[in-house]
Amino acid sequence: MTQSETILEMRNISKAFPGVQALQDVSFECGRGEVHALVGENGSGKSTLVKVLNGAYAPDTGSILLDGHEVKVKDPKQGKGLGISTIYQEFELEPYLDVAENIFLGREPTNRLGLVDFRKMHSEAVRLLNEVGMHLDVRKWITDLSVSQQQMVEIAKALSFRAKVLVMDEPTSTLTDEETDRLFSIIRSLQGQGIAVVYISHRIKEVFEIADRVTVLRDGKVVGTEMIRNVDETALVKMMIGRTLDTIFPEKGEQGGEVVLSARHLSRKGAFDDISFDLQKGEILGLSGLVGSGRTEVARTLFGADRMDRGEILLDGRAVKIRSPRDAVSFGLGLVPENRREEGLVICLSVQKNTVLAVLERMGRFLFRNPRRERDITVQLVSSLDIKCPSCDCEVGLLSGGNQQKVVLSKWLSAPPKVIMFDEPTRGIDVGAKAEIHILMRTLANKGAGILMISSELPEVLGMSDRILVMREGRLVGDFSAQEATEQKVMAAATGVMQ
Amino acid sequence: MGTASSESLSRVRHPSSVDLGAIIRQYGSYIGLALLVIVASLLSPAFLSTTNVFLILRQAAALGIIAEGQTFVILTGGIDLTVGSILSLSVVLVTSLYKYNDIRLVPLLLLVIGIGALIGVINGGAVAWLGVPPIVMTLGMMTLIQGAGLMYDKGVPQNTLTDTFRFLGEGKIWIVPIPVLVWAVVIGISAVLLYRTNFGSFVYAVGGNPKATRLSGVNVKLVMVLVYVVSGALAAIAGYVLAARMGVGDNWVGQTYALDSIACVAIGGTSLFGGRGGVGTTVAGVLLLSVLYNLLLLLGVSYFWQEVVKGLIIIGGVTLYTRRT
Repeated sequence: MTQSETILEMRNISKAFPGVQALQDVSFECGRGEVHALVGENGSGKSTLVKVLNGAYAPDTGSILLDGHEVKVKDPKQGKGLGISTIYQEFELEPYLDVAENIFLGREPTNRLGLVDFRKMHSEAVRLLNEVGMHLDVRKWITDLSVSQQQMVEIAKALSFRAKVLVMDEPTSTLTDEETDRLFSIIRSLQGQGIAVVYISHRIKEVFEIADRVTVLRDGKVVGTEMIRNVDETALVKMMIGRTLDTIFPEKGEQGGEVVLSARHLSRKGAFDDISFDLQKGEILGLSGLVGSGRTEVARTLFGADRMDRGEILLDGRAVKIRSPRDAVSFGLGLVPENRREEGLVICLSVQKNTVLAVLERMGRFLFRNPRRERDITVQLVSSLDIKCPSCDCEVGLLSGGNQQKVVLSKWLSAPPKVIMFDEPTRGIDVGAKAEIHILMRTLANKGAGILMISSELPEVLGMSDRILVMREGRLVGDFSAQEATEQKVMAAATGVMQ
Repeated sequence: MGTASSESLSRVRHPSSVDLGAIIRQYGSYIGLALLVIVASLLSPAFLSTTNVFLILRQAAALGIIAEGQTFVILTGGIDLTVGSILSLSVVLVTSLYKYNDIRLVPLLLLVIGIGALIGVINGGAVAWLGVPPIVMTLGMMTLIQGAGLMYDKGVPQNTLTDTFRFLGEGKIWIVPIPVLVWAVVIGISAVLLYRTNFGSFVYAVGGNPKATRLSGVNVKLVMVLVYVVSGALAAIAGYVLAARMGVGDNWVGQTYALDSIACVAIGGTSLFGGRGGVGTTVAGVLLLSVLYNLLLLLGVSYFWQEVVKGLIIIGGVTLYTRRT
């Protein structure tokens, strides 16, 4: 690949959110016709960097240069106009409009009467697609296209905006091998046209196949930028995760308790396949893997929130049918979901109302409330979990993330559950609250609960778990005890890189 | 994706600051009602007479009963457009089946409540299990029920005004008209149901966040069915009360009640998105509209203006409640 002039330069970009420095002094550049991969763990700052680039966020410090000129990207619409297009994992397409309409949405070509010139729109769409070797029936509705074809529409849309830089966020996560090959040949055509591609992916193998250069982010900082030919997979993985484990985690517990929960050959098409594991009493079982590996789906299925095609669940050795969260709760299961605001709490209700929500059922369905008991339970939990709120009637949406998470947890603690599943328990929470939640989890385990902890933060997985399972693309690919697990091994299993 | 973004994008408010929006929502309708009553008594000397006050209350009773039921449905984020048709059907059934047989009065009450509840089961069942949007389901059912009523009495209203009926509709216990008593009892039961039972807590939770409520182990589907059952049953009761007042089985009497009940709920401060509000403010909403109608009548203002002013209050009230500080 000939060294082309730089078309995009991000200089000293910093971005902070309350409680966390998402990006610190990040510099990144991309040449015309170059594929520059951006890799890093969850939370490393990749998505924040992309959002700064396309205008969704404004950087605190730093500048962006396009074609040598400094630009201030105010919003994504302006960004597109400047030539920066982004294709996210969730496409921004209208399902019931056709390909051409989607490409030109809002900018439809018009004839002299001011009406939409459909013929021109369709022929233009065909031309754009052919430019990079894509062939589609432009009259088809988006909803009738495959994912890979929809992606082509997104690419064509970017081309219609005369994109100079195309950012692709995890483009192959939903594609087959064949479709991936097709995407790569399209990307090479784009390169031929001088378009720069910022390629974000967890799939290290693909990065080596398609990228010219790679930049590794970790904890909001650039670890290094290298030409692809100068690194190998192992070195890359090392750059992604190498850090000192200076966070202190609670002491681990004793092992060898009875098995409280068993999953046997759980499968659901498109989500996960043949998942089997045992969870012991008093154990914290870490479930690691990349985003999209199917961990949340497994947990939700165990909790009855989603169904499974095949498989069995055993509680205390007996097979049980869990068809709804109500069943799960009646069996003594609890779930602290991934997204606390959307799935864990009723934001407009008070701390008290949220805390007792799961317990009301146990206090007798639809029978009269016992406000005093509700209050007592809430006060007790608020104090034992150290939830900072002005009163029990405080709207839960006003609390900080860490305190909100504690309220979600408190929901399950009025009657100690047998099994609690945590999905990303400390995501988006400040360091202090993180530690408190870790201590709470260990305390629960010590009291005999079995804990399943889904986490994408490797230090947390290694620091908290007594055993670690790793999932990749819906399958269990790793099972390590605490002693034998290392960040390297877990990451390798999660990304599929051979050691 | 964006681990930090969800935190930063949520509004960061100091927990101890006064939530003006919630206060307006909770007390605004009461304050508005009080102001209106003051203005009315100043503008028209006849307003505060006992006769007039009870006239207002008696006429508001049916709407008041229906609006309480509607409140439950709206609190879960749904809407019930069938209430007017259920009311009409109830009126028609009672007047035609009564046949001057006083013994039938209680069974007829149970019958119409049963029918109203059954319609509620159908509404709620479709919404909860089939995922039909409430507005679509209840719109369809509204037309269906209206048609059923017409088929039943073939458009011929039955006239069954008797002394018993007269008493139920126009009579009083002490000085309180019976319809108003019924309304008061309904308010009381609604309040107990909403504020003192677990079911009530679930109603708010489902309206606030059905996903999270389901993941807390609550039977969200059952809650959704039950609110429509409550609404349907109360609409039937309102029809019974109205039949007693009118004594005539008029198939079209319920026409305006659906939208009016929704208006009252909204004016009261309950959010049409669910999760916020209550049955008390709905009463204030009903009274606001009723007092307004009465005032305009006393002042000799034409009917047209009534509708215009009603519309303005709805828009103004809801806008006020929607503004967040």
